Amino acid sequence: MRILVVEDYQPLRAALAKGLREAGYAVDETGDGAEGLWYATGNPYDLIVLDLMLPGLDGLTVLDRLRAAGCASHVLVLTARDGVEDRVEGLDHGADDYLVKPFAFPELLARVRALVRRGYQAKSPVIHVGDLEIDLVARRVARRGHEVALTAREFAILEFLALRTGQVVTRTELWDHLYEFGSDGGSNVLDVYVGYLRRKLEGEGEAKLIHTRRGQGYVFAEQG
Amino acid sequence: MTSIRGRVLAGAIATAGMVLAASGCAVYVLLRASLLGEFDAGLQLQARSLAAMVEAHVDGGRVRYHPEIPEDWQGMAYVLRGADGGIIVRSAPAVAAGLDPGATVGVVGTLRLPNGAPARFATWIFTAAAEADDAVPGAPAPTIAVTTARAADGIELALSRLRWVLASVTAVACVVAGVVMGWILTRALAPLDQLAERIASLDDRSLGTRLPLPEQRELAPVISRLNALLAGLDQAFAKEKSFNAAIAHELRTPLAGLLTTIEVCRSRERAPEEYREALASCQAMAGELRAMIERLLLLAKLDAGLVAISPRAVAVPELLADCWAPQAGAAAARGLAAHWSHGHAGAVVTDRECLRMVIANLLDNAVSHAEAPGTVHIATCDQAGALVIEVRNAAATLPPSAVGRIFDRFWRGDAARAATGRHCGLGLSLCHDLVAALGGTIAATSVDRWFTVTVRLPGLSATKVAA
Repeated sequence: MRILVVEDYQPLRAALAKGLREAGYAVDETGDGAEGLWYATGNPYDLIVLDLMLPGLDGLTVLDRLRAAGCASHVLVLTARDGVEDRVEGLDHGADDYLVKPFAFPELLARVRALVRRGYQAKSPVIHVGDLEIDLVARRVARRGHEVALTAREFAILEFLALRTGQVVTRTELWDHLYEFGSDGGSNVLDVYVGYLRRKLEGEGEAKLIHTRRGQGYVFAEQG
Repeated sequence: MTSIRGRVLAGAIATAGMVLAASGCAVYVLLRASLLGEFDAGLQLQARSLAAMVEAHVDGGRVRYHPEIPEDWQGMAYVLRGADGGIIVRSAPAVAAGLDPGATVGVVGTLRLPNGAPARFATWIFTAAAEADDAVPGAPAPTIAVTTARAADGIELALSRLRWVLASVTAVACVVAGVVMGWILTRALAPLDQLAERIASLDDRSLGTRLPLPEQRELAPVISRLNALLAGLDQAFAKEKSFNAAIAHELRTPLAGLLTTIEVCRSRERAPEEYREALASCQAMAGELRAMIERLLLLAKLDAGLVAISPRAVAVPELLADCWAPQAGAAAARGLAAHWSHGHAGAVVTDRECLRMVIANLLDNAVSHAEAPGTVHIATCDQAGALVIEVRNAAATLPPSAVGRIFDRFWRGDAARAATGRHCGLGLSLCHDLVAALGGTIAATSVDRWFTVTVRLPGLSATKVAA
């Protein structure tokens, strides 16, 4: 999942980006409102963490312009303004959630997970596909009750595929949602990771879960 | 607590009472004088009528009188006395009433009858006409005093009733005046009551309320002043609220950074280098917090007048150079050079530490916000006995409204905030308060992409001092 962090206080932005990356998210970051708007309108972020007091363009204006441009990314407003009017104003401008500084980072992560799930209409943090169980909070995967060890990248690919179970996911979509802005990677990087996933999830005698649609992408489903 | 209504009412009733009492007294005195005058005139007329009936006869040197007055003439009490004081005739009613001629001294007067009843008398002294045949040439004409008296209980009764009537009228008039004045006062003071109710309903959430100007001319200045006070309070509350919100924001953001850095760092085992990096970041953020809190405390002290000013001669060019030294590295990194112009090489008598903080903040501001590469111009001169320090750098031209707020606390050039920490918008505000504490002035202009801050300080000395 890919997240944009727009926060002008560099040490906080750096800590947020580091924490979110370690939680398995691809993170783009900026400290400028206008630049944040540029990032957000040009990339399909699953979530935008947005401060309200920003140089260049204030957070509420960024929100207004994002919604006016039809951006469907969820927005978590992160600000030091804690008044009821401030929260109402933020939500009324199109924010999906509001978190007041200072906050507990685990709470921010929980809200991030909830908002990301909401983007894919998944209410439960545990996804079941056939005999495969994916716990999005604990970031654990088990098939037939046996835990499957995945790397962060492999889990990110599986999470995105699982949240879109039954739908065709193109390589571009995978790339856009899993890699940060400016990431280098060959065209076959994703295929390599999908290959790893298949080897770990689909052992001998086990049903295939990741199906390739030639010329289109992948479909994650119990039955291809 | 006294009541205006009560005091005005009491005053009005007392005044009405006094005026009515004085009027009543005057009426009483006039009526009494008139009644007694008429009564006495009647008595005197009767005395003169009696006198007209008296004849004197001189017989062998003796005077004899021939009163042709019956003793019960008209039922009057009268006494005629001769020149020697002897009673010539005394009417039967006078005898019956016990009229004592000795008690009737004067032309008119009062006397008390033996039965205790009040009476009045009148005396007429005349010269009796003597018979011509008997007259002794050159002999003095005999004089006779006629005193008439009559019971005056009727007048006394009338005067007593008059006193009661006047007293009753005065009392009733006072009561009526009190009621009427009370009603008038209630109506007249109704706007005050309404004003008191409206003021009582005001609290810190309704400071935006403005009271409508009343029809009563006397209340208009009060309401105008009250509205001005409310506006001032509203502004002060808004400023305080905004200041508190700004403090909250400025403290919360680095605090959030600090906590997030610690939480992320502790979320897993890390290499020593990562811990060192996190600690360094935390230390930097804590330093920013400390600097901000110190500035806020200094501002609070300046507000409370608790900053001690110790004036002494300060060599300004040297102080400027000292303050530039810590900025030189950052300036060079940004491609900024300093241009010095000292039109005054003497000293100023002021507090060195306060002036150092002012200059350090101004230079830090210039180095941080000047368009780079470029030059920061630092100049000093004396103008009318005051030291002028000018710091000028190229920067985007600010609108006049922004220049007007440049010394406000937590104000920053970018309406959407620039950054927190060192440049949280307290530096210029601190300069403003420090310069004010030094008895000087500070002003800022932003014209044609040049931002200039000018400080004027009193206490210029021609003496050059050692740094």
